[in-house]
Amino acid sequence: MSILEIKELTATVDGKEILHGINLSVGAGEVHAIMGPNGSGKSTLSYVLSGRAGYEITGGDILLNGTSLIESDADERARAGLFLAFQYPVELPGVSGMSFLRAAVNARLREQGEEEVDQLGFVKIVRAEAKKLGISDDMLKRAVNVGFSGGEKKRYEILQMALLKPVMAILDETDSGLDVDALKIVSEGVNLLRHPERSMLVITHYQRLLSHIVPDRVHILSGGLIVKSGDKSLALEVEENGYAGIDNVA
Amino acid sequence: MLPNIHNYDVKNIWQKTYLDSFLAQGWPSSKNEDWKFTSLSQLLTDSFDIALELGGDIAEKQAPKLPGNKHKYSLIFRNGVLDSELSHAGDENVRFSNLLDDDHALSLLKNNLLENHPIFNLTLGAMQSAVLIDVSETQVEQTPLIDLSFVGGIRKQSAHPVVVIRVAEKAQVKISEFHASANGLSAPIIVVNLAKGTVCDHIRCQVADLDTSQLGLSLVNQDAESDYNNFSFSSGGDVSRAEMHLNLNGENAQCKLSAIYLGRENQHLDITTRLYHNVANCTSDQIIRGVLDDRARGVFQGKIRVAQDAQKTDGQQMTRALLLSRETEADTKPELEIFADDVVCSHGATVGEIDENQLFYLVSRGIPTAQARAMLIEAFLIDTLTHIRAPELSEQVQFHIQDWVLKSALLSANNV
Ligand SMILES: Nc1ncnc2c1ncn2[C@@H]1O[C@H](COP(=O)(O)OP(=O)(O)OP(=O)(O)O)[C@@H](O)[C@H]1O
Ligand SMILES: [Mg+2]
Repeated sequence: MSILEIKELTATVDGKEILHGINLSVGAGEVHAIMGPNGSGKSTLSYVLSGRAGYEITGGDILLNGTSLIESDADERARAGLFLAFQYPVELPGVSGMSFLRAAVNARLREQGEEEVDQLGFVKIVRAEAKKLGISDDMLKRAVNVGFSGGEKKRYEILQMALLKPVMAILDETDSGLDVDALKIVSEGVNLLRHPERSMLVITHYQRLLSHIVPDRVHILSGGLIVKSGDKSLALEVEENGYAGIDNVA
Repeated sequence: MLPNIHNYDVKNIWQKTYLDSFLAQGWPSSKNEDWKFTSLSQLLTDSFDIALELGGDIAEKQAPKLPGNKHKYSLIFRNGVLDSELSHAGDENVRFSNLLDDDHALSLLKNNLLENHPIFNLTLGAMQSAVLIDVSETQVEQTPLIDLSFVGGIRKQSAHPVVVIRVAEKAQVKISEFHASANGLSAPIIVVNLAKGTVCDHIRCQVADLDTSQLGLSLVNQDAESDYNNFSFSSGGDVSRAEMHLNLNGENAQCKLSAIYLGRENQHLDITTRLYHNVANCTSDQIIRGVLDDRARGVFQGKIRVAQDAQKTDGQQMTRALLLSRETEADTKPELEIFADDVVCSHGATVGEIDENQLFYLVSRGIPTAQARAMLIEAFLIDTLTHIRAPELSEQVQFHIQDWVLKSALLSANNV
């Protein structure tokens, strides 16, 4: 069964239709990549999926584990196991990183009827996960994303994913802003999180990321529609010929 | 309407001058520049009798439970009158006496150039309890904590307590003021006089009844090398003004003033500071944060005056307001009057709303909207709280902040 199923999805932003009928299905444990020109609607799709206010669904449906999400608010979707790694993570001055992470993890645990983690136990878990991603203790002590470099912010997104253990993760250009070494660390971090019960949608402009995180399927999004799908070789094709060589690309 | 003081007899003849001048001027209107945004003639519609004796129920609003401290000296005022049964008697380190018996202390109060100030005139004229507290320079192992509570009170009466705290050279002291009055009008005057080399941490927590008009006046004088850290929290009162006049009178004195006001419904909350750099080489740093919900109105007026001889002055002031509803209003009036040339002074003011990007980031992690809003409001206030140097005094305030923020966040999340 599909973990995520997007059916004939149309959506508007500020009254303007950006997504024109997206169909996409991601099976359990699969990793799908989405590539596409700037402005084609990739980030819009990720916001629509995660339930951001102002991104209005005008038609179609989104199913997570067979249940429609479109009536749920963003926080409910997240607690149901959806996760978005932001293209541009947001700085939260004054919000302590640890209390933010704990609030998020506890919200998900409460939803699952499990016991919340206490502060001490939680700090240990976070430190261990952070270490795998090369995140320093000092970064963990700061306010959320404040004073982080571009690359550090992306690592912090993956740390959140590791802690929240989503069933469906959307990574929006997690590779942008990463240097070669960081790309490797982050990709390894993501690969460690690959799991038969966790699917991923990886949005990227570059084949390079996909040589680290090898996708099961690759889709090309253009002008608010998926215009072509294929296996990982499609990404190589895009790398070589650009989008011009692909049919139907606006 | 003015308080009903026609059949009130002053305790001392000199008080009559103050009362008369209050009566002659009445409550100021918005035409008065100092009361431009807080027009008392419009805001105060009830008349009161002057409170003469202990009164009002304090069962519900007990004085705050400050951490146990054997050097704690508590004074409790009910209906603006000192309740000597509930209050500490003092000792050789912290001595309590009648202000009216001490000419020097009385002059500390009277010498303030406030002849046109309505609260100054009214409270000096109508005060029933005037307490002088002397903190001696004999150092005890632990800094004494003076704990002043203004609780209870009768709705149809106005309370006018006066406390003068005189801190001797090199002494250290902590002061906690708790205002939970139920009087129609509560207008206390607190004077803090810091001699050379003193260190003072002062917290004021104002959570008066929502139909109390709470108009407080704080007068602080700092001598050389004194170090004053003040934090003021206001969330009570239908009309509230926390007004402070601070004089830096000796070189190398420094002060840090931080304030938080939280307003909802139709509350009108005013923070007014008047900072006088009278001599060289002093620093002042003010940070003010306000959060307004419903139809509440917030006012910040901050004057920094640097005298001609006050070279090398460093005066900073920053105020920010967070508006949670479209019907709130925040007015800010910074005033810099600088007569010296070698100074660093600055002020800044911002008004904003909750950032939708930040809110989405939090809820996208599964944090419920109400909790996410509460986290952002608390984050907005955190800079101010980190200014507090005596954390054991801030627990009470933190509790009130969390309570207020959670209520606002829950209500707005339900309304979305
Ligand atoms: N608030 C808005 N109002 C109108 N148009 C918008 C709004 N937000 C996004 N768009 C438009 O929607 C289209 C898709 O934008 P989106 O950010 O989804 O592209 P993208 O594929 O993620 O691009 P990139 O590769 O640059 O990240 C763009 O044309 C953009 O201008
Ligand atoms: Mg994008």
